[in-house]
Parts: sequence; structure tokens; C-alpha cells
Amino acid sequence: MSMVTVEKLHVRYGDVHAVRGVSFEIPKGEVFGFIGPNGAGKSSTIRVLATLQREFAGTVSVNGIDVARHPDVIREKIGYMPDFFGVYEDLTAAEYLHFFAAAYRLSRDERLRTVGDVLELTDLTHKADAPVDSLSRGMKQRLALARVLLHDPDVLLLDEPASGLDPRARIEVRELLKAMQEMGKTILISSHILHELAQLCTRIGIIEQGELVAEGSLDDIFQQLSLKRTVHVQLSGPLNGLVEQIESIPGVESIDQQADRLAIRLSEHETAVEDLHAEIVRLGGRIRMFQPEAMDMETAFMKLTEGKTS
Amino acid sequence: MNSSRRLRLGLPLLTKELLEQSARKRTYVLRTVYAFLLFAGGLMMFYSVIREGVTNPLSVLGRGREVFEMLVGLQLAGIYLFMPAITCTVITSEKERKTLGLLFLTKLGPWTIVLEKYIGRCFTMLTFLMLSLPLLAFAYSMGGVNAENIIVMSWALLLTTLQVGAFALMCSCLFRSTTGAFVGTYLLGFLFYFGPIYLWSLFDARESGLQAIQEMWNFVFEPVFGSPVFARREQVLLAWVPPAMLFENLIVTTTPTLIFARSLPSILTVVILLILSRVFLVRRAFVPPGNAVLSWFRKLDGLFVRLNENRLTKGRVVFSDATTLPESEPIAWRETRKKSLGTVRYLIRVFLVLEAPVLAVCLLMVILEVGHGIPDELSLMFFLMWMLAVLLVVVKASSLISGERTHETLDVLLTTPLSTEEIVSQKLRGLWRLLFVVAVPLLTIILFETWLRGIITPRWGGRSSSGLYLVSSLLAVFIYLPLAAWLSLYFGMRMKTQSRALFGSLAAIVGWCLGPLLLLIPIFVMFTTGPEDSLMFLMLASPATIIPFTEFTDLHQIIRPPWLAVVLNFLFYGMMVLLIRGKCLRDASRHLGRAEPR
Amino acid sequence: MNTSTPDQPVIDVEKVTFSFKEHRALERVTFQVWPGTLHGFVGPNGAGKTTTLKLICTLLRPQLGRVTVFGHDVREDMPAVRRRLGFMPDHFSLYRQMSVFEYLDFFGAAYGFSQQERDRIVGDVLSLTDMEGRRDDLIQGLSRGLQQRVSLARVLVNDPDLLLLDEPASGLDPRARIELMEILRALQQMGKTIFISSHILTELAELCDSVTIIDRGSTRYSGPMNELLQRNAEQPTYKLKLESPANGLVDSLKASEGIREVTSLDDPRELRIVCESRALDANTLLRRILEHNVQVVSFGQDQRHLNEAFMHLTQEGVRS
Repeated sequence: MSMVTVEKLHVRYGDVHAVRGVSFEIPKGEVFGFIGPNGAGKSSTIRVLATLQREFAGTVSVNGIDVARHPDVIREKIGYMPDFFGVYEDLTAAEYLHFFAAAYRLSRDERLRTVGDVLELTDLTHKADAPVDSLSRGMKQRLALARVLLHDPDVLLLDEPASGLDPRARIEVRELLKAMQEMGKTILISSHILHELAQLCTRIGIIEQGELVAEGSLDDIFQQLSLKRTVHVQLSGPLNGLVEQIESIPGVESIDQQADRLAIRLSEHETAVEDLHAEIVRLGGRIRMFQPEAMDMETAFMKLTEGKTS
Repeated sequence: MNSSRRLRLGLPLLTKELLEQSARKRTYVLRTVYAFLLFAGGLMMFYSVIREGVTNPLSVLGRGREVFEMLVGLQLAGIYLFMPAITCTVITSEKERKTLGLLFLTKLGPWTIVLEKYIGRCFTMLTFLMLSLPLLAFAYSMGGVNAENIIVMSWALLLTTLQVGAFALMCSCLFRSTTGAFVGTYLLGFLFYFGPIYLWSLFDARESGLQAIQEMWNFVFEPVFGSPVFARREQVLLAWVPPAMLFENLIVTTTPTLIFARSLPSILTVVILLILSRVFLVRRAFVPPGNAVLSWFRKLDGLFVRLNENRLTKGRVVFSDATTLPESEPIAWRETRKKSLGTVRYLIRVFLVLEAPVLAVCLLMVILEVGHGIPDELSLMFFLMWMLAVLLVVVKASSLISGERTHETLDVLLTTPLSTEEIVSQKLRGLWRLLFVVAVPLLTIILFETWLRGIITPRWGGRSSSGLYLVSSLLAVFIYLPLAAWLSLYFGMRMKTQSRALFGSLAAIVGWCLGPLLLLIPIFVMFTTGPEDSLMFLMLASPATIIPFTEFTDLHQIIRPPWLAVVLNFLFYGMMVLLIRGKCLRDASRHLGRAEPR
Repeated sequence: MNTSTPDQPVIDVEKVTFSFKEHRALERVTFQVWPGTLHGFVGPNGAGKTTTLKLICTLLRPQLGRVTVFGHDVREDMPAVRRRLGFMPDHFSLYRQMSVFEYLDFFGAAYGFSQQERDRIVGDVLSLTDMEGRRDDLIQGLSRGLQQRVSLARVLVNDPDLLLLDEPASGLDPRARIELMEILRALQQMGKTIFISSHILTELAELCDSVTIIDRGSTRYSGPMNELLQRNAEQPTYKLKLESPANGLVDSLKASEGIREVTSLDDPRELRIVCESRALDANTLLRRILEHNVQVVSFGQDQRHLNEAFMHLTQEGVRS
């Protein structure tokens, strides 16, 4: 059964039609990446799920419970982290967590244990008594993630969890998210930075101007777009008509001869990348370098979105 | 549109200011409100003039002067009320948008920035003042006013605008946030205008000192200007207040040199304030965020700790805020234990800072004035305390919710299972403490006054009896303060930013205090010829009237039966408190932006 | 007028120390930026990037050390420095109620240009940033990417020789970012020196000629980009990705001659192979690998990624 179901969601702010008929489902335990340009409707959709949007049309449910009808029940089941999060500058990290633990009505004993646990998990135990204000940005982000975990929610809604972080902090956040995934949480992450999501998400939805333009696993999306893979190959020694021979391999669309390398465009469902490698060796090519380009999310994004919102 | 909206003058910043103002809705709202208040006030005054013994149309002639004087008074009130609000955002808004640094990088020097900003705001105020031209023409046509009067009046108004503007500009350069500048302008402004006179009257009732200054000044400047600068002794204490210096020149025709001589101190203060603005603009351009009140209290805290470490108290701490963890009400816990101005420690400091001078003045009055009636100093203190109390309550209450919103912490709070009512009522917990703290100095003054009225001078000349006074004043404290609190909370919930919430709630309160007076009374006067009593009942429709009524006059003589008026008034406002409170709690979810079970 | 010569750095920061009260933001920071380069300024959040930029653009004064811009000391010759640089802060600093044209026209006037000059300049910067179509739009109605471009257009109003951009790409979606990068390239070709701070590294790697890495207030590296990326050229490193993990291969490679080190990466199918010297060339190595009957997915020289360099250079201290 799906943990999160969104069906024909419409959100309007006055004249602005921010979300126009978005539908998707997230099965339990999956990590759903929600990608789109700034202002495409990512945050609006997440706010509906977080019970922060009063007016919307469509059916939205978490674990089978309707958000519009029982927002109070939903609040116990979700952990929400907004894209901009303020922290109370007058509290220490531990107090901050205790504050929210009490707000989630955990009993006193539970609170002590849980706060200890989440501090440990987010590697903030040594900062428990430091004022929240003095923490670095990355640490604040981890603290916010610790808060999200306090009441052990089934679904995590994370709006741009990595924006504005330096690479180190971003890796830390990614590790944390991995740990949460292993804990069996269903996670919805929105982002406009693509490469950081690619490694983490099991499913992806691309949104533009309030409409979902693609949804599915990464491979699905690439298939859907019939994107060609580019493989860079360096050969040593004279080519001796090798290029023509490679070109005749089924699936090779074109070969671009660059100064020191060949850029081979390959449609993967005809010849797998490994097979291409074996083929070239069979043809007698002395390979110095063989590098398929990584699945390029950026290209996918640029292809799917038309840049209307930017 | 663009070819017309472009920079033609050589003053880029000034033109930009005017452009920006013309693009803002606020400008037009403010202008309409000003025009409404002015014309309502003008109408009211005309009727009160005409009503008195107008038997034939000709008898109106020559009475233009009265109308004229009232008009000037109204305009002055407008300047003192509106100009700080218009001007105090002028630099802070650049600081808040972080554009001040960019301006420094251009060829605009600090002086250019200060002056062009200053002129821009003064210009806005002058357009406000222009609105009174039709009324002025009317007064002129009634006779009794000559052209010279009008010139002097224009000069006085201009000078006042310049001075108030320069003062607010200085505060804007000094403070980091708009809210700080706004509160600072009014508080410091109050000290600037009334501080010296108050101190003088408090500590030295003799006027020989004043006379000495007056004579000295006149001795030096009389040869220069040809006539004495200070006509009366008291003017020395108000030398830099243009209306105080020039008001009598509105009526009595004098030479331009004398008018200049009398304006000299005011002009001097404008220059000094502008120089200070220039200094603060650069010095305090990138002040790191920090609560000024808080750091001030921290310093005070150090003093208290040092005071406490003497032989007598041996550093004992009576009230300590132990760092405990929240029990069951986390928001209330944070409001009362963690917020800087919510903890017992700091509230006691606030209390001492407010209560100590109040007690001192009360005791001083008792010693000096026993048997002479209610001293004016006490009444002034009372009003000052009222304004301070309302201001503190409004600032705190309006920022309760809007503060969470600007710090982006509200959304997270809303996704917890706490119900909206719980969130609001827990947030209010710290506010009630503050309310208590500001109420005590007020109660102190009330008790002293009751004592003075009741025991020492029963029914002293023209003031209310002690019983009525006590009941009426106590009710005012216990109903108006919560009223201000709930009203500000409501605005805080509806407005997006902290400063808008603050401006909104202050405007609502001032409007409520003045509105009924300006609106109801002309209507009443126009359509009825009923007894004075009912007029007075009407006056009580404004929350601002009952306090001065009970303070200065004898309710027994104004309204019969006085008790009924008081009871009706407070019943009405008590209902309002309940109404606004109910509305706040009921609509909280909607205004906070949270879905509720359908 | 132009006091800088090709061998004089545009920005010369020398042993600059700066503290906010007790907090020491910069500690003897030293680096140079050369004319016509696109210089990246990289560091973790809170490393002192914004403080350094504010020092260069004269909004703060260095407490110790020396900062010169085009040979002018920022403490002594403030107007000369201000005239020749354009600063874009990390927040956009826009007047939201004005139209794009009004905003740019205002700054043109603030820099003291006459009306005719301003007409030309504003037209130029609008076309440069590809914003002609939005000339009369109110700024508050624009998307983040477009606001960023207005901000960039503003920087260009006084035709500065040096652009200081603080985190220009943060919060932008890929499309807006790529467009911004194109504009920056065009500006560099016009001969402007661009100093750009960022914590997003991947975009800088392809854009910048040189880079300065800063961590907790002190410089860790400053110099050309390619030197940073290929530091250990004497020990060629290769990266190999296999179809499936092969443990036998690792052991036999380790034992094989000329190979210094073989390590498995996060993904067990990926190996990093460090050679003793240049003697062992890529093809020979690949042959040896293929002898083990493994399916190779990719093979090539391992270029140190800017990310890795960054991680390596900033890891020394425990983050506080």
C-alpha cells in the first residue's frame, strides 16, 4: 500500500494557480525526489501534506488517512522540515529538542531517552549544551533532522534539505538520510540541486509550473526520454578504420572524433555499455580510457522543463 | 509610464524615494487617513465655534482667528503624530533590505544620503500639510486672520516638520530595525520635548534660575534682534520647540527678525540632529543583529550582581531561573523561562526600573504637596506610565506570533499535534507576566492619588471623589491593558511581518482613541441639541477619554449619574475584550495558516 | 587611469586578519587575483568568505594586513577602489517596488552618470544580461533567477573592471544557474576580472581559471585550478569500474609489479589504482586487468575532483 497518495491536487493563492493537478504515490520505505525549478510548486505540495494549507482541491492522504479531514492525526505521522527553518536562538540544542518532544506529547522519561538517541544519531551529542545560534549551518540542518525524528514519524517531508550547505555538510546530510531510509521511513525530498538527489532517490517526480512532467524511477525517466548515453574512449596506436568498425556496432548512433578521444553516442537498450567495451577490444582497439558519462540528471531536467518559470 | 517615471533631477536618492513612495499603497492610505482626521477635526471645531451664540450670519465674521488657531493646533498634532512614523523607516528599511552597503559603494556620500532621504520625507509631510489649504481659505474668508499670520503659521509648521523629521531620521540611523526606530523615536522624542521641563518642575519649583537664563539670553540678543527673545520665563524650557516659541506670534504681529530669533534654537537643534544622523549613519551601518534592550539589561544585570555582592545580602539570589526542561507546556516554558524579557529575573529588573522612579516621585509629592491637592507632576507621570505600559504591551503582544513568523519557526510549530488554541494561550503566558509588571507602577500611582484625594483633601477643587476615582482607574488598568494586548495579538496573527503588526496595532489603538471623538461628536452636534450629559456619554465611547476625565475633572459635575457612565463604559470595553479574545482564539487556525479537521 | 599592469594582481590580499569582537573571522589570509581571470573563492559555510569580500569592496576595513585593489590600498584610497569594482552581495539587495529600469537608472544616477549616459548604459547592461524584455516589470514580480540577473545588471552599471560576486548561484535551479554561468563567461571575455565565492563546487570547476580555498579564516590553497586538480602527476592514478566485484583481481593487482596501491571505493565494483611511476602506462594496466576475465564498465585516469580537493584541504580541523 502507498504511504503517501496525492491525487489531482490543485492549490491556488488568489489568482496564482500554483499546483495544477499533481498526482503521485509513494510506496512505503521509498525515497521520493521532488525536483523542479524555483517556484514550480514543490513547496506548495509539501505544505499541503504538512497540513499547513487550508484551501486545496483534490485528495491527499498519508497512510490512508485523509489530510483534509484529519489533519490532527496526520501531524503525529509526519515529520516536516521547511525550506527555510528558523531556530530559537535562546535555546540550547538539547532544550530545543526537549521543547519539541514536549510539543509532541512524549512523556518525560521517553523524552530523555529519545533526545539522547536523536542527538547520537545526528552526531550532535557533544553540542547538546551549545546555544542553537552558535551552531554552523550544517549542524543546524542536522539538528532540524533530529527534531523531525523525535516522534518517530512514518513519513518525512523535507523541503530543500541541502540548499545552502557546503559539500561536507551536504554529504553528512545525505548519510543521515540514508540512515533514515534504512530505518524504514518513507521520505519525500524536494530539491533543485539534482546530483545530490540522484544517488539517494528510488523514485523521482519532476515538476514544472505546477504540473508533474515526469514520474517514476530514474531509469524509467531516462527510458521515457530515450536519452542516449555518451561514452568517451581513448585509443592508443593508429585507428586504421577502427572508427568505421565501431560505428557499425548496433546501437552506436554516432561517433564524434575529438582531439584525444572518441565520444560515442550509444542507445543502451541495443548494446549495453560493457558489451561496447568488449566489442572494441574484440575489434583490436587498444583502450587507454573508457568512460561512460554519468546518467546526467541535469540534461534530463533541462530536457523536461522548458524554463518557463525562470 | 516609464518616460514619465524617470530620474530628471540631479538628486537620484530623493527621486528614488519619491518613486518608491508613489508605488506603495501605504502612502495613499496614510494620506487619506490624514485628510479624514484633519477634515473631521476641522468640521468639529467649526461647529463648536459657530454653535456658540451665532444669531445672524454676520456674527460669524471675524471669528476666523479662532478657527485658524484650532487649525494650527490640529496640524501640529498631525506632524507630531505622523512625521515620526513616516520618517523612522527611512534608513532602517535600507538596513533591513541590506541595500545600505550598495549605496555606500556608489558616489553618494553619507551627507548626500542623509539629506536626500531627509528632504524626501519632509516633502511627503508637506504634501500632507497642503491638504489643509481649503480649511485655511475658509478661515481666512471668515476674517480675523491676516496674511502675516498665515506666513508665520507656515513657518512654524515647516520648522516643526523639519525638527521632528530630523529627530526621527537620527533614530532611524541609530537603530537597526524599523521596530526599534519607531519605538525609539517616540520614547526619545518624549524625553527630548518634555524631559527638561519635567525635571525642572520636579526638582526646582522656584523660577529664579529660569529667569536668570531668560535675562541673560535677552541681554545678549536684544541688541541684535531689537526685541526680547523670550517673552516669558517658561519659554526657556521649551526654547527648541517651535510652536511654543512662535504660537503667540501667530496672533500678535511682530518683526521677521524676532521670529527668526525665536526660531534660532529650533534651527540649531535641526542642524545638530542632522550632524548626529550623519555620524550614526556610518557608525551604525552594519550593526550586527542584537537585542538592544537585552544588552542594556545585561549591563544592568552586571551592576545588580555587583550590588548584590555586599556584606548585607552576600550575593543571595531570591529569584533564580534554573535551567529546567519543559514539563507539559513547551511553549509556555520557553516564553517564561527562556525568552529574554519573559524570565522572572528580567521582569524584576524591568519592574524595578519602572517602579523605582514612580515611587520616588510619589513620595516626593507626598512630602512636598500634602494639603495642596493633586500635583500635576503626578498626573503627568501617570500618563507617561500609561503610554509606556501600552507601548510595552503592544510591542510584546504584536510580536508574539509575527515574531515566530519572521524567524521562520512558525511552520514547524504548527505541524506539531498542539492545538492552535494551546499554541496561542501558551504564547500568551509570558505576556500576562509583563502585563502584571507594568500594571503595578500604575496601581502605585492610583493608590497614592486615591490616598491624597480621600484622606487629605476630600473632594478637592473640581476633581472626582476618591471612591469613583479608584474604581474608574482600576477598571481602566484591568480592562484597557488586556484590550491592548488582545488587539495587538490579533494584528500579530494577521500581519506578515513584525513591524507591520506593530504599526497596525498602534494605528488601531490610536485610531480607536481619537476616531470616536472626531467622528461622533460633529455628527452629534449637527443633528441633536440634547443636553450636555449625552455628549459626555458619547465622549466615553473612546477609550482614551475616561482616563483624563477621572484624572483631571470631577465626574460628578460632568456626567450625571457618574457611576452609570463609568459602569456602562467599562461594560462595553469588557465586552470588547471578550469579543476580540474569542475572535483571536476562534480564527487562530485560519490566520496562522493551518488546516483544521473539516 | 589604469594603474594595473599585466604582472600586477587585481586583488592582493596580504596577511589580513579580521575579528568581530571575540570571534576571529580571518587569520592572516593571503591570496592574489590576476587580471582577466575568473577566480573561484571556495570554503565551507562560515569560513570567512563574505567577510573577505566586504574587505575587498571597502565596506569593512582590515584590522591587520593589507588589501590592495588595482594597486590602491582599500584603507587609503577608498573612492578609487569603489569606482572600479562592482559588488553583488549574497542577498539580492533589491528595491522591490521599483521596475527593473528604474532600479538600474537609479544606480546609474547614484554613480553620477548623466541622463544620456544612463540611457545607453542601462540599455547595454539589460542586453548583456538578456533582460530587455523585462525592462518595465516590477522587481517584486520576478522569479529568483531573474532577480539574480537584475542584481548582476546592477553590478555592471558603473562598468567595473572587477566583479565581486558573493554566492551568485545559491538557490538557483539548474537552468538559471547555467544561464548565469554563460553571462559570466561573456563578461570574462570582455576582459573583466571576476571574483566569485561559492560553496557549490561542481559549477566552479568548469568555469574558473584559478581558485582560492579558505577554511575557518585561513587560506588552504590559492593558485591555478588545474594545478589543484592534478597535484600528484608523478604517481598516475586510475579509476576502474567493473560489472561485478572481483576480489581476486584486487589481490593480484596488489601483488603485481609497478602498482603501489589498490583500494576499493564505496561501491565495491569501483577500484582506485595508484601506480609507482609513469613507467606503467594505461594500456598495459588495462591489458593486465582484462587478463583476469572481468567485464570493465569504465577505466580512465582519476582526476581529482574539486570536491575531493575541497574535502581534503578542509578536513584537517574538527568542525566546530
